[in-house]
Formats: sequence, C-alpha cells, structure tokens
Amino acid sequence: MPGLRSRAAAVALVALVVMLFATPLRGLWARDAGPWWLPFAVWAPIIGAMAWLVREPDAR
Amino acid sequence: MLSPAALLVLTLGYLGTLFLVARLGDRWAPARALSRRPLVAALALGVYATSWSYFGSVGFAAREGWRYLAIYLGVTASCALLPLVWAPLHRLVRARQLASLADLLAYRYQSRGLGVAVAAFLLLGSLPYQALQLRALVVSVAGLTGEASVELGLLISVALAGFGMLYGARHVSLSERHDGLVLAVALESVIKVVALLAIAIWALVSVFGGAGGLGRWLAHNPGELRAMAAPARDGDWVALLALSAGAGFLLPRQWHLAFTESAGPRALAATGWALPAYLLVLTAAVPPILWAGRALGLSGDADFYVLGLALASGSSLLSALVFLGALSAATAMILVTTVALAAMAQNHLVVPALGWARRGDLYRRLLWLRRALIALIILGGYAVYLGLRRRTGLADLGLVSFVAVAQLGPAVLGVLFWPRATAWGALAGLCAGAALWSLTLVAPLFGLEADVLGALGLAGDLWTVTTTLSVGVNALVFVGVSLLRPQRAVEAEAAATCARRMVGEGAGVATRSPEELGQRLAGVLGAEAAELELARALAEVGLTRGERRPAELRRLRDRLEHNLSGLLGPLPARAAVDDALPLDPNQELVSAQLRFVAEHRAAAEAPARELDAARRYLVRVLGDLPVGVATLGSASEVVVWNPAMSAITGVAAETAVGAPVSALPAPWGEVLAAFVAQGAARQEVVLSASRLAAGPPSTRAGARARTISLGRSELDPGALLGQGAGGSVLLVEDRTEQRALEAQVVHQDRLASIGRLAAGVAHEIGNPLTGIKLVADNLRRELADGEVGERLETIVSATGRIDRIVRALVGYAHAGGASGERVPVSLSAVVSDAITLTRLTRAGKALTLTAEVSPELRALGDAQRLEQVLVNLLANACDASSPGGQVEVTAQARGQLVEVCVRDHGSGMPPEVAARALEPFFTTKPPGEGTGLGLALVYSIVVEHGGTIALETEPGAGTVVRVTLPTP
Repeated sequence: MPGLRSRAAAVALVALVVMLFATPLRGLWARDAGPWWLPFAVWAPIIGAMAWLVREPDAR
Repeated sequence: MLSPAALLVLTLGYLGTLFLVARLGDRWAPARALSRRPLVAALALGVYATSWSYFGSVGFAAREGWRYLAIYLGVTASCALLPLVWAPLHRLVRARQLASLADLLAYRYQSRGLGVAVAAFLLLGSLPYQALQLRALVVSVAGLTGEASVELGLLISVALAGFGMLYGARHVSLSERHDGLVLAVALESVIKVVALLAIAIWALVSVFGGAGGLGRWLAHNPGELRAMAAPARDGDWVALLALSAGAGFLLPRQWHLAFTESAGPRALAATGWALPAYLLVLTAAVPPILWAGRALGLSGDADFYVLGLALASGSSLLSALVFLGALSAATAMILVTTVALAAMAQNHLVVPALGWARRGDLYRRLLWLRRALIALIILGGYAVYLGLRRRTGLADLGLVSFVAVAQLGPAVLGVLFWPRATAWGALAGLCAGAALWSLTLVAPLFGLEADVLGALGLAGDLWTVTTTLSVGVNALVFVGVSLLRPQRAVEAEAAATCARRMVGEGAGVATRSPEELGQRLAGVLGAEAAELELARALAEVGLTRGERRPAELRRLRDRLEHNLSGLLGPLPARAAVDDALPLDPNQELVSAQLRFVAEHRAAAEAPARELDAARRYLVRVLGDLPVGVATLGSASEVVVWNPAMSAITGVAAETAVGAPVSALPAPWGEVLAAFVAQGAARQEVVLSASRLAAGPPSTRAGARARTISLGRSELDPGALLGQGAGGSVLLVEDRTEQRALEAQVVHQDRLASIGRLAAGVAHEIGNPLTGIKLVADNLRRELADGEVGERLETIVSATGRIDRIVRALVGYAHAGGASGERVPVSLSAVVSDAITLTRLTRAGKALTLTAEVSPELRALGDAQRLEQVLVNLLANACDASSPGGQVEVTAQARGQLVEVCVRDHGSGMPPEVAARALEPFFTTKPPGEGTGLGLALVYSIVVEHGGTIALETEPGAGTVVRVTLPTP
C-alpha cells in the first residue's frame, strides 16, 4: 500500500471507525437506559453499508 | 439432564459428522465448490467465536455491560478496513505463497530469528487458550450430566488430532487450500450460532413470555439496564475495540482461514460484511440469556448461564443442542489454530532446526512432520489443560491472548506501511511487548502478582492500561530500533516487494540450462522432489528444457523459490535456492529489469505513468528507426531488439531479447558475437547465400549473398540505470541493394565509355567504309557482268551491312541519356535495328530472330530509347531460349495504341519469378552475369512513354512480352 494518500486514507478511516463505534455508542447509553436492542440497531446499518460497499469488488 | 452415555454418543456422532463433511469437502466436487463460495468462507471465519464467546460473552456482559460488544465491534471495524489492511495482506500472502503470519514477518524482515520468535510466541500463547476450550467443554459436560469427566477432554483431543492429521495436512504445499477443513469449520459456525439463538429464543419465549414480557421485566428491574449501560459509559472502549480489531486477522486461526485457506479476493470481500453480520446475530443472543439467567435467579458464574438455562428448560433436545454448540465452538478453534500453528512450527522451528531437507522423499516427510506436529500441539493443549487448575474467567483468558497477538500488530503494519522498518526493530519491539504482556497479564494467571502497573503508577481499566503499555512500548521500540540500525539490502528488497514497488532483480543465474538447475537442486531437495519441482516451475513459467536465455533462467529460478516457499517457508526456500542455484553478481540482466518494469507498469502510480509515457516514446522511436538497433547488457545478452533488426535478421524480438548474443540463430549469433569480440566500431560483412540458407526461415527463402554493415558503440556504465552495468549498442544495416546499385553505376559508366569509344570507332570506320562502298559501287557499275561484278555486289552488300551495324551501334550508344523529343518513330526500323544488334551477341547468333512489322506502323517516342527497350527484351528472350530456337517480334495497331510483342519459346518463368521480374535488381541469372536491371529499365522507359508492359509466361512454354505504346 504505497503512497502518502493511501496512508492518509487509512488513518482517516481508522479514526472514523473508532469515532463511529466508540463515541456515538457511548452517547446512546449516556442516559443510563434505552431500549436493549438499540446497539444492534446501530450496528446493523453499518454492516449493510459495508456489504453495499463491497458488492462488486471487481468493478471498483 | 443428559446421561453421560448420551453425551458420549452425541460427541462421537458429532465428530463422525465432522469427519464426513470434511471428507465430502475434499472428495466430492459439489461440496468442494460449496466450500469455495464466498459466504461459506466468511462463515468459516466465525471461528473467531470460540467457547469464550459461546459461554464467556454472557459473563463478560454481566461484568462489563454493553462493553462486551466491543470484542465484536472491533472485528467489524477491522472489516471496514478490509481494503486497506486485509486485501494487501491477502495479495502479498497469495503472491509469495506465505503460509502463516510467521512466514510473512520472516519474509518481510528477512530474519529467521523473527520467524522463530513469532512462531514460538504464538505457539506458547495459544496452548493455554486451547486448554481453556477443553476446560469449557468439560465444565459443560459436568454441568449437563452432573459428573466431571476429564476423560472426555482426552477423547476429544485424540479425535481432533486424528481429524487435523487427516484433513488439515492433505497437501504438501502449505498454501494449498483444505476444502474439507473449511467446510467443516463453516458448519461448526452454523451449529454454534443456531444453538445460541435457540437458547436465547427459549429464554425470551419461556422465561419472559415474549419481547413484551422482557420489556416489562426490564421496566420492573431498571437496575439491569443501568448495569449494562454504566460500564459502557464509564469504561474505555478504544482499547477493547483496537484489541479485537487486531485479533480479527492476527489470531492464528483467523489468519489461517482469511489468508492461507482463502477462496480468493471475492471471498475476502464478502467477509467484510458477512463476518460482522454473523457476529451481530451471535451477540444479539447474549442480553436475553443474561437477563433470563438473572430472572430465573440462576446460581453460579454468569459464564455458564447458557448451560444453566438449558438445564432449566428441562428439554433434553435443548441441552443436547447447547452441548453441540459448545463442542463446535471448542473443536473449530482447536482444529484451525492447530493446523495454523503446525505450519508455523514446521517452517520456523522444525525444518530449520533439523535441516534435513536433503535426504529421501521430501514431500512425504514434510507431510508426516506436519501431521506429527498437529497431534503434538493438540495433545500439548490437553497437557496444559491438565496443568491449568486455577479458575479464570473465560473472557479474561481470551483477552489475554488478544493482547498477545496485538504485539504482532506493529510489525504487521510495518510490512504494509513502513518500508524502512527492520528485523531488529520488529524483534526488539516484539520482545519488549511480550515481556510487558507476560509481566502484567500472564504472571497474575499463575499467581505471580508482580505489580508492574502499580510500580509504574498506572491505574485504570486493566485492559486499557496493559494494551496501551505493551503495544505502545512495542511500537516505540520497533520504530526506534528500526531507525537506529541501518537496513540490510535484503530487507530493503523484501520491503519493496511488500510495498509493490520492487524493481526486478538483475543478477543472472550461474547455470546455463534448466537441466543443470534441476541437478543442482537435487543436491538440496533430493532427485525426485527436484525433478517434480523443476517440471512444475517450467510448466508454470511456460519454458522448455531447451531454454538458455539467462533472463528466462532467472525467472525459472524465481518461480522455483516461489513454489518452495509454499513448501518449506520463505527463508528455507530462499536458502535452498541460493544454495543450489547461486546468482552470478557479475551478470546484470538489464533485460530482466526492463521486463519487470514493463510487466508492472499497470500497477504503477501517477509519477510512474509519466515515466512510462517517456519509456513508450523511446520504445516507439527505437521501433520506427529504419536501422536495425540492438543493445547488449554487460553479459552480452540482448536487451533491445527493434523491429528493423527483426526484419533484417529474421530473428523475432521475443527470441532475441534476453538471449546471449552468441546464442542467436545462425549466422547472426556468430557474426554479431565476433563483431562484439573484435571491439571494432564499424565493419562490413558479406554473408554468402549458403550461410544465410542456414539461418531463420524468413531469410532462407531466395537466399542470396548480402552485404551487412555493422556499427557499435559502448554504453557508459555509469549512466545506465545507475548501476555498474555496461553494455553496447549495435547498429545493423543491410547494404546489399546499395552495394549492387554502386556496382551498377560503375558498370554503366564502363558501358557508357565503351559506347562512346564504339561511337568514335564507328565514326572512324564510317568514313573509309563510305569510300570503300562508293568505289565498289562504281566498279560494279563499270564491271556489271561476269564473276567480278558478282564479287563486287557481295562487297557492296557487305559494306551496306557494316554500315547498318555501325549506325545502329552509334544510335544505341547515344541511348540512355536524357529522353529525346517525342516524334513519330517507324517501328519496323527500330525493330530491325534491334534485331541487327541482337544478332551480334553470341546467344543471338544461335537463334532465328524474325520480325513481322508493317512499315506503316508508327509509335510516338524516342527512337533510341525504344530501340533499347527492344534490345533488352530480345536479349532476355535469347537468354531464355535454347540454341536453334526462334524469337518472333510482331507489332499490330490497337486503336490509339500500337502493341509490340516479343515472343520466345524458351524456358518461361514460374509465377513467383514473373511477379518480381520487373523489380530492379531481381535476377535469376548466376551472380556476375545479370544485373537485374534489364527489365526494370524496359519498364521505366515504357512507362515514361505512357505505355504499358505485360508478361505472359508459363514454365517450359516460353514467354510473351506485350508492350503497348502510344501512336502519333
């Protein structure tokens, strides 16, 4: 994975994923309680987005 | 409650099913195809969830609340990075046939020590984790039957050892796929998720009476949700996320299934979402199980609520299912980890230590070695289980192993993103990280409480502190030591390969043929294996055993190394190949480097594209040059061979490039090698027809002697590719036509001077001849009768004939100059003059020349040049006829044109000769007799006159030449 741009993109993506998973999920539970299925409901669309992103690996 | 006998039957039945599935996956084509489907490959990666997830997640959720999700969300985050981390690793591992993580690191850092360290570290770190799986199983049996059964652990270990030996070591090459194993592991992933979902659904339906009931129970027990939320809000997520993100592909079992047993890039892409989806389903079952356990007031550790609920359900079916889930979670982990570790141990611990690749049947020994290692590792896990008595939370032991594999993270990221990293850096970082990991996490497991964290003044969440400390120190040491020590050349080269920026290695092989290569390899691998490997490599690179080109032999050598890497691991493969097939550093194969650049230009980045444009431009210039250009490397191997060169020599560029110049087809190899050896700057060589006839087919046809001009200039060694490679440029020109033209000019000059001489002589003869004729005529008139009169008549007619000859000669000698004025010309006079001249030649004397031309026929043109046309045509007709034959000249008016035919009954011409008869310098006469210009001159004169010329010929039947000319 040569090139500065790829490395920068990797770092940005890592940061994004960490933010995505850590901060908002913590925020969701900040009020102590919420429906128990909420974390899974947040998780599912992320997986959906990942499936959509890789739907045609050859075309990208 | 299940009886021990029932559990035994269940266990045996399950293991039997596993054997059957694996056998089908290996032997039955539809099952094999199924095993290679992307989703099945992704399901197999569900091996991430072991007994720890199956039982321990509930316990972890009980202690850490929603933070238990981090262990699965981290994998999801890692999957989001698939194109940046997994995909490049996958490409690298597949391209270099690297069978394990230890192989990758040993290859990248070119260090056996690092390979040994990684293999040993992972092996030692995995044994307790395997022991944990066995303990979880035995505990669940005890829970389900009420009887502790250590023997069950042994039974399962032996069965798994058998399974691993049968289905985990089928191929001698480590990088080949075990379809049966993957299919069996995918099935186990399905079983454990079904079992966990079944117990969760039972809990939801039977304990709470549905989702609404759960909602009401949570409303009555608000503390439960708060207990889940509070640790999630207050605890640290980042360390857990990072740990599990790393574990997602660094754990030996994950690495093995994602890369070594990969079903290709499509399967890897599918993993990107299918693995997170699988984990989502698995983890969604955890909260209902936890709360059901709480609602039912189950006693004991929350780690075993799954078992407790199964028992509470009172359903044997559910209990059996839960047991099968536990069995599948444990066996899948043990199996895959063992197979992965056996490959590592083989390549890095056993083969280098024994170094016995030299004796006997290599393949068989390698296979049995790996089978033995599989059995040993599984039984080693059992031994550790017997020794590991201390009770530790399941999830905690799992996390200890996560922190362990995270120590490999810096070195692996270095492979992908930091070409400057060195083996010493990686080794030092790993040692520092491993030391801290042992002190802070492993020592407490064995009751050695060395309060390192307290001594360092670190407090807070255990996992955050230990991860940050060990991985942070590891990374710092890795970077620091890497920067302190200079990088070795082999490391830099391997790093460039990993970063896909490699420039092909230029050194040639110190062997001359594939056979020699095979013989040398036999000294290392044994004759049988060497022969098989050679045949395989030859087939893969598309070469024959007759190959002699150094660059191709180098490719063959690289392929052998590549294949052996899949067999023995990267460093032993390199050592074996270096040992048997040493490189000759004096041979800089520029052609191999250029080929590499050409092959890899598609992968090049933007600046390289511009370079590539410049390269294309230069190649185009070379290609379009009308002069043959070849460049030679320092080993006198051909580097560049332009199209003009191919046209001149008949040797295709594909054959020539890479070949030593002396190995080119005859006569070129000999000629060029001699020229290079002489060191002359210029030389002209005449290649005889017989030498050319031995050459390539395209120069063989109609071979005649050729004059070749050779030029040469040395390449400045310093200026080329920045290396010590010298070489030279050869220019080759075909001067045959030029030399023939020059000879023709000389010949014409001589003819012209003879013509002028003849004209002068004719003029000088003309005057006395006129006198003789006048005197003889007068005498004849005076002595008109009698014998004297007859003799005088003979003198007069003879002098008349001499006069005609002299006039024709003068007329012909004046031809060939600038074209005269176009005037009406009497064809009969022109034809009769031409016949007169032709009769003077030896061939003309032996033939009957007849003319049938009406005196009225006129053509528009220059009489002298038209006479030349007829003289040339008649000369050819005479040459083609045998003595005593007949040549006829006829002329007829055809509308606005007049057609003159010269017909002979001689040998005629085959079609291919007739087609070229009008070309300049084309002749069928022996060298020195014909110039090949006669008909060409005829053609040019006729065309100049606005006429046409046509040949009708048939071998053996003679030739008719029809010339049409315009009339006045």
